[in-house]
Amino acid sequence: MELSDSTILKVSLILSVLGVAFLSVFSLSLEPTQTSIENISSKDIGLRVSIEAKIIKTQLTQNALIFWLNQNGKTLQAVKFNYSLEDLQLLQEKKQIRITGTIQKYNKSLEIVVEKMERIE
Amino acid sequence: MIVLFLLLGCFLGIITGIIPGLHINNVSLLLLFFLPIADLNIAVLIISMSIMHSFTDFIPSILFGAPEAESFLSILPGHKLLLQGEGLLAIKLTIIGGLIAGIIAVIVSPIFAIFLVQFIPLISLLIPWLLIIVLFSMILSESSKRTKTIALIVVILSGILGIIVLRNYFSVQNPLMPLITGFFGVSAILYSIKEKTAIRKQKIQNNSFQINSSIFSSILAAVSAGIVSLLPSVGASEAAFIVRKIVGKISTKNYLMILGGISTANMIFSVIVLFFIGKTRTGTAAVIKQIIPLSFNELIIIILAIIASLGISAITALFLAKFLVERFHRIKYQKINIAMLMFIVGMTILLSGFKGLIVMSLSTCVGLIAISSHTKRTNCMAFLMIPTIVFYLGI
Repeated sequence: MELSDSTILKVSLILSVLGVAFLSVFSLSLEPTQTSIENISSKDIGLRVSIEAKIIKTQLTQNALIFWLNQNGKTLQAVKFNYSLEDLQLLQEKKQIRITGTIQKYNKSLEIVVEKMERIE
Repeated sequence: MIVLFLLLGCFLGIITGIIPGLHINNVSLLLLFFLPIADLNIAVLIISMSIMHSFTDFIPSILFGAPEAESFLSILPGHKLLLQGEGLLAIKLTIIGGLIAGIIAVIVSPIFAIFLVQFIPLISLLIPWLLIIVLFSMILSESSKRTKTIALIVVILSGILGIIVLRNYFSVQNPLMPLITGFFGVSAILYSIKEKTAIRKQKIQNNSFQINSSIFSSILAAVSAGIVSLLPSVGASEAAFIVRKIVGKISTKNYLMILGGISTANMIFSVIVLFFIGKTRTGTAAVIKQIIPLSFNELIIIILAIIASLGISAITALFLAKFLVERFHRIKYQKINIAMLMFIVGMTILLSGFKGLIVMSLSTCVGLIAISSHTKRTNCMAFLMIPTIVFYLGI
């Protein structure tokens, strides 16, 4: 059996189309749900969400940054493991930020495990 | 959105691939430095750039003799085919190797990573002795007593230069670049200018390749890349060289497939293995580790990006190679040689400074000894092999 130029092109084309199609679909399914602290409940555990809120209190431990977010009077605890210097600076400013992370239950309360945090300009 | 980053990465990979000396590690670090947010999109961009680079960097190596860290060994067999008017075929062989070995790497890397990691201590013990045997076989394979003696001198000189530069006794930025360009690029270009080498019109035709030998070469490439992706101090080119020496009679065409395969599969293994055992070997994987969490969802995205990039890169490299080869004979080869020489010297000064120029001059001299005495230029590989032996023996 032989492999011709056109076979190589066909295989490459199939890989490109399938790869791009599945990548688009899968990445869309990973997009975090925009939500508010008020709407977060136990049924959201494991859900990837994005929230815009103000930092009101911070606590630094050896392994993690723990901070509390406020949005329209409702608060939510957030935790960031493997934090960077930029994350620390962002928390010190105590401004409005956008965080993306996963909801989980810790010590009988809901909290968000932060993947990404960014300043809202 | 993520597809745009994938395509942008592929575009950057074409640029880094066809411009000799522009390495993806440097571009990845620049991207991290300038981009405000490093996230999954950037990770996909870096991966697609790296895969595209692993396909396109063979084009300048084969057509212009301009070497890069992952593809410099292709200059020798690639140039051989170029002189026969088969430059396009040489590039196609590296593309086929990259494509098939890339697919194999995606499929087997999770199993391979978990399985192979158990054998790493044993492989690490074997590596220096394997390299020593390969070194001796290189010298002994020369035809006469005279060439054997010259090969020994070339091996010793290359090894000493490699140790001095790679172990920082003479500290140079981007140390591989001046060494590789000297041994395999500048020396060949200077010799070609002196000999007034003429390149015949290149054949532009469809080719057929034996499926069995293509798959065999790609499996060899994928296995070697898997091992290399876990071993420190052993590069893709060294792996291809060791495979050729161990397996024995590998044809020039199959060797080019193996070179193409190792280059692409090494990149894929290093990224996927990172998700399973958390270890990195390539610059690309190190950057990925910095910017995204190593979770299941990210792994799926990365694998899909790799699959798409493999297809896009193979198609792009095929068309790009055909486009360049069709126009290749219109330019006088001497002019290409002089332009490439000036470009390489300029890039060396830019990336490695004047110290790099000194290293390049010395390695060029050693390369010229090998070429002018008609001993195999692969003896210069001792510049990588001897420092690796020293590293693994803990000297």
